[in-house]
Amino acid sequence: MREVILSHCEKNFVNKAIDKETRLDGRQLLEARPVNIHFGSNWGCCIVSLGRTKAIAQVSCDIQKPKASRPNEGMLHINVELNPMAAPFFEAGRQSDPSVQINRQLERCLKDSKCIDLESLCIVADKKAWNLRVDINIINHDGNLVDCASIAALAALMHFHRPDVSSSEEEIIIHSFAEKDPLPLTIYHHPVCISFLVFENGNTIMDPTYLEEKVGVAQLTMGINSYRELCSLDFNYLTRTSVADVIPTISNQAANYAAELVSLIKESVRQDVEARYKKEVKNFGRFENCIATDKLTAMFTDKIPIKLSSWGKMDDREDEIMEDQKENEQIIKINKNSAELLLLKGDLFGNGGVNTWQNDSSSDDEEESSDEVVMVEETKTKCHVLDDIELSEDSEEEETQNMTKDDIQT
Amino acid sequence: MEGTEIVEDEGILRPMKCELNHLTMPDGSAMFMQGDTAVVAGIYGPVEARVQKMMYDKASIEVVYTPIKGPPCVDDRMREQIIKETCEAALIATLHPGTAICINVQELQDSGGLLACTVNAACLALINSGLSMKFMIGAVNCMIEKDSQKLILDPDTTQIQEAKATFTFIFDSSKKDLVSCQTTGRFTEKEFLYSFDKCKEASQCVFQFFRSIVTKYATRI
Amino acid sequence: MRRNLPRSKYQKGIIHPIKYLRDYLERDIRPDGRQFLRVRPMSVNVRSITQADSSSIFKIGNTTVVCGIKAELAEPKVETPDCGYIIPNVELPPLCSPKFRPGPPSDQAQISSKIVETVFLNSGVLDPRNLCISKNKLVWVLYCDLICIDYDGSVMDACVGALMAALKTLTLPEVEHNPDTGAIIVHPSKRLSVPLKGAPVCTTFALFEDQLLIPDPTEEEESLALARLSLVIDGEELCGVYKAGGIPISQEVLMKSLSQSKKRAELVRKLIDTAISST
Repeated sequence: MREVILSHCEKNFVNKAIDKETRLDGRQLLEARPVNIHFGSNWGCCIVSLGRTKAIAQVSCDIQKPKASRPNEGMLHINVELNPMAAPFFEAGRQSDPSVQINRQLERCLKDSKCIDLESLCIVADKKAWNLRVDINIINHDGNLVDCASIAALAALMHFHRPDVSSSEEEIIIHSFAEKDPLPLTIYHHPVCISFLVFENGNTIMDPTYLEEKVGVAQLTMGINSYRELCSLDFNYLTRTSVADVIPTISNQAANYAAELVSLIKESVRQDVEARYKKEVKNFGRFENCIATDKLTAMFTDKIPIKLSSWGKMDDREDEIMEDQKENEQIIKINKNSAELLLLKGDLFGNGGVNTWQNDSSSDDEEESSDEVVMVEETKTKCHVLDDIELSEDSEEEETQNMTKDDIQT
Repeated sequence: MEGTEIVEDEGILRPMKCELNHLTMPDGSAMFMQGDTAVVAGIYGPVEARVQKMMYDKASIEVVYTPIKGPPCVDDRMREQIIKETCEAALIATLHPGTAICINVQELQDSGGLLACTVNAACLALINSGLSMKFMIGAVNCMIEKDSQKLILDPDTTQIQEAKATFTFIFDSSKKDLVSCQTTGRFTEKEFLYSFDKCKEASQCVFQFFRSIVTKYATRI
Repeated sequence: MRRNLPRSKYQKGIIHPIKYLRDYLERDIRPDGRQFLRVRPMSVNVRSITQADSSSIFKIGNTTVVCGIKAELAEPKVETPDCGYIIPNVELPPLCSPKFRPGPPSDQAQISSKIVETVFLNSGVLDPRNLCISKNKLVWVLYCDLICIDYDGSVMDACVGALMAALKTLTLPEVEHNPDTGAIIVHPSKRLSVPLKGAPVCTTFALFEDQLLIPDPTEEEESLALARLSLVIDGEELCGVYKAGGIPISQEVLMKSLSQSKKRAELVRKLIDTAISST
């Protein structure tokens, strides 16, 4: 489905509101939406909601041969999927322009900034290294997908624990979580993406919603870590009009907010990980926590016990259907390698419709009147077919006769 | 005499948790959890259909299942097909000719009975979307334990490792007949029919859950 | 608008294919003259493709599936160091039906491959440990190519039948593997057959209004059916019940299909055994 085009009055409305420094959801111009992070019961799995935008991230790892250019480093692979659930105009399984753009922005922010210690992921240089894969699925689209995805990716990476390995010569043993405690990743610094949107009149807003994104003129995404260092920068015009330089005015705000955001992520990761270390099952941020209990549309049940009645009474099944068939089928051996199942008299008037393969050279209806003849005919034609397939073993003389007979018949 | 083979037992369905309207963009959505298995489903429809998929006499139903990690594989295609055909059976597609109904399902966490959870989530999302349905669909997962030959309803990941056979049955709510079925492992006819019967009983609890959640909000609007 | 029409519409020039079929069914007969519970004649041929390690051709009525198994040596997967594996691949080329277009495998072909694989794994017909030559180092991989050359319904039945017939005639050359040097010596003349346990048989049913059940549907019936059901039976046990959607099926009809498929399974098993027997 194509994206619905925004009407002029909606556009004007948003523009006018921004002129008066108000936003539809009542935020200040440079104010972000609230961030919520919920962790699943696996390591490295979280749901992040940024306002109404929602993303799910899951980190997974496997052992692979490292790249030849970097033999002593593990690998990090980031994949953002714009799930068609997020918006009807996203298509499944296809790399669209926006998904490539978001992927690239996240790669620059997380991978190229070298925030993850990839060298510690190497097990045997040039042979085996951990390959990390971050899958981010956007499930609800309300603007600013990049920020939401970057928060989800960072939180998932910080939360992720990989299994411990011990390597003796040649062999490496991957320890299950029960054997040895899993290890967290080493993260040097924590970059997040902070997005801004510039409007026609030069006003800049932070964390745009879907509606605002469609009205804005230019988009600016900064990857900043908690030390106020810039890791990536992306500036993109959405329309043809140009705007004045906005970076100096907002960079300070971006850095402050980044520090705030990173400490929020760190805190929620710390709480969840600590609860896990202490094995406090109740305190895990399980997914169920993201269902608000008090909502009218939400519903919880406890375990439902079901009395299973005993087995015996199931047995009263009668086989009334069994009566119908006597030995109606016959299996005949045609030659060394073939057999055929035929239906006998009474069924012959139709054994599977216009059955062309049975009598490939000649199909005479009169011959089918007696089933014995049919069977003989079957044998012959079958041999004829086999002849074509197996040209090598032509030992039986009969077949040549059959062929001539068949040929004469036609 | 044959009752000795399968021991009578009390079955337990894991706690079900659900939130309808979990997402804002789709026309109907639901987050559904059975134990720790969690799934989000979102429905768009009826929407404009792509030209290749358009059918002049009914709505085309498209299902996209997204796994939590890794690219989609053949198993997911299977799942998509089962969800598609099952929802097709429940929906009255002829009411919306020439359109498309898109059912999107996102796996959040798999700890046993993912297919059943997925189908239930899809059904809840369909209820939420307000599309007309002939009946509700409810799925129940069960397994036969290898050693004890016991039937376990709605097993979790650790229990499934001990399974000799697993079954996922999907029932309709009106006649309580079988809509879809998927099995793994080897099993006898008796075990199959027994599981079928028990899951049918258990599916009533699933339907009851569906009904009560609708009553909960429908009575107050 | 050709793409969405049922095949029979332009093939047979039937204006109302559904009514056409219903008229037949109301008179208690199927369009090809079969009674409701009657299956089509089957035919199986083995060892006709000499280049493959084993092969078979399986026909059910017009439906024809050719199976060729090619065995190759490979390193085992890390998770299962002492197991060989099988890779079934179902091809539905444009040759077999106007429904299919050239190009990458369709969803249906992928799903069929998956079903064949699950049937194989669930039935436990071949213990993957028997395909192991040297633990952690060398195992057999069986590439099973199933090519449908005539698509006329119940293709899964033919695929499973062809695979089983081919597996039963499969012989593998003896291999010597030296774990220290890694040297592999293959003796192509000394061939051993693979131990098999049982033989699963798949039976497809189509379901119509009023819980009318017909086994072994043709393509025409299959495309107009309101539901399809596949049962895989191996001896006294079942190893797969697949039903994906469609109208719900009642328990009585399910029982009926079970007993029908059992009977058919016995016939198919005898058929395959007759075909491969040396006399």
